[in-house]
Amino acid sequence: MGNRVKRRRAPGASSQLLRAAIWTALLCVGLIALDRGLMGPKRVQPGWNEATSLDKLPAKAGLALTPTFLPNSVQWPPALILYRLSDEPGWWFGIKEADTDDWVLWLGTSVRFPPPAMGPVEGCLEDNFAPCPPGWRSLSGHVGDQVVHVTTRLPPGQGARILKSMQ
Amino acid sequence: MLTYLLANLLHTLVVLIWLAGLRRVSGPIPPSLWSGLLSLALVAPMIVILWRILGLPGVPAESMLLRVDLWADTIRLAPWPYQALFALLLLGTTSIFVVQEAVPTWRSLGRQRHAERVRDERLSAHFDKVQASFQRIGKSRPRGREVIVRRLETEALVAALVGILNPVIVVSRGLIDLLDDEELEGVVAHELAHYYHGGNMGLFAIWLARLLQAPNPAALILFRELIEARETLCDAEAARATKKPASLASALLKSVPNTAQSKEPTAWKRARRSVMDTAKKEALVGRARELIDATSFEPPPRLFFWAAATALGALLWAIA
Repeated sequence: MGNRVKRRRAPGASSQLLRAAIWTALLCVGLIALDRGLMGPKRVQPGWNEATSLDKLPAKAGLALTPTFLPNSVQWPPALILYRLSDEPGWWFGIKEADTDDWVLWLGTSVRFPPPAMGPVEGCLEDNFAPCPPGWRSLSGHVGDQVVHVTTRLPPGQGARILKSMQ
Repeated sequence: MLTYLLANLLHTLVVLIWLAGLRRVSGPIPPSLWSGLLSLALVAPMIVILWRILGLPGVPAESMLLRVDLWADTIRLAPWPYQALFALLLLGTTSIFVVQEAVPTWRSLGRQRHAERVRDERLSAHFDKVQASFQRIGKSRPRGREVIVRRLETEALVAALVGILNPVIVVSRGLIDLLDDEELEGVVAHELAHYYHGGNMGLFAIWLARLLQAPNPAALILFRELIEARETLCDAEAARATKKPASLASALLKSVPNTAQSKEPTAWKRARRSVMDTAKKEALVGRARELIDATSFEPPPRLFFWAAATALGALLWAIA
């Protein structure tokens, strides 16, 4: 009597498809876990990252300039600190009003790719020539080798004073 | 630039892992499906990058599988030794592409140009018979110039489809003398299968995608896997057309290089030749074994390819 060879049956088409779908789903879960585990859960918007404090702003984003003058009506440090390293490196600080907790002042250096977090004032930077929402103004000036932009709805004159204090 | 390089690297790496896992978990994948998926794996990452450059809609940031921008920023902020290692990986892979793929391809083209090609009655008779077999299984001739067959005046064991615009199947005199009629028919059918599956024009298009991804180590692995997969696919197609898989398997085994006859002048060159021949032998024996073991050479329904292609596209689209 010869040896009986037990042949392994090839899986059917539906079984193959099911296994392929499970494997694809597992891979997706694995990739998300890897990405969120290594890079952290935060994602502000494409190209922009959030720093938790001013001293965490990477030098490659440009020299972080802080104003020596700010009216008492605004919060400091900034409520939102954003930076980007690719294409046009730069940073933006989002500053809120102390009383209302609403955005009142944006300071930053990147004009070509303003962060979508700026919302309606994103387009009204001085160089972009788009109209600002009512009450908002935009101005800019050279500070060292950087061009700093100030977009604010603070009373007239205070934006210029903040910009001057950074110079 | 770094973001695009890294996106391409991550895309191909994920596809490579996905394909390797797919083969492991879902069992054997038919050669036509496997070859098609590998071709797509090399081309699709380029399309996704183009999609990104054109600013076409992508996956919302919170749903992305891998956030390439953040990975690129991590490299930008890494200490210089890490950046140097990354650069070394890309440069090293580009060098491998130049030394192991671009230069040998150019040299082999030169060798084929120099050997004389003549008409051979025995070869032509088999060629006509095999072409009729392919038409019987419903293969339609690709657009462009018609393929012809010629004998290559060399003792080396060579069979290949050469030429991009003017395809020619060449079989060397050494190989014709070595094989019997059925084996020769199998070899001609194999080369003709290359022609029916896009020929060198199709391979050239994929090679261009490979060239654009020269620094990418995952693309290197995918391309080499694809070259093997195309050989297996053409073996299966030849077996399907001629219905003589054992004859082709026998021809493959007869063309196994004999390392003992190596006439290389130095010990280093002999050792190198021996390593190359052993690798070639293993590949040929593996292909012969697949031909003998296969229970069917019928391609799977086209739906399988489109389902897998959609999954692959979605996977890449979600990495941005």
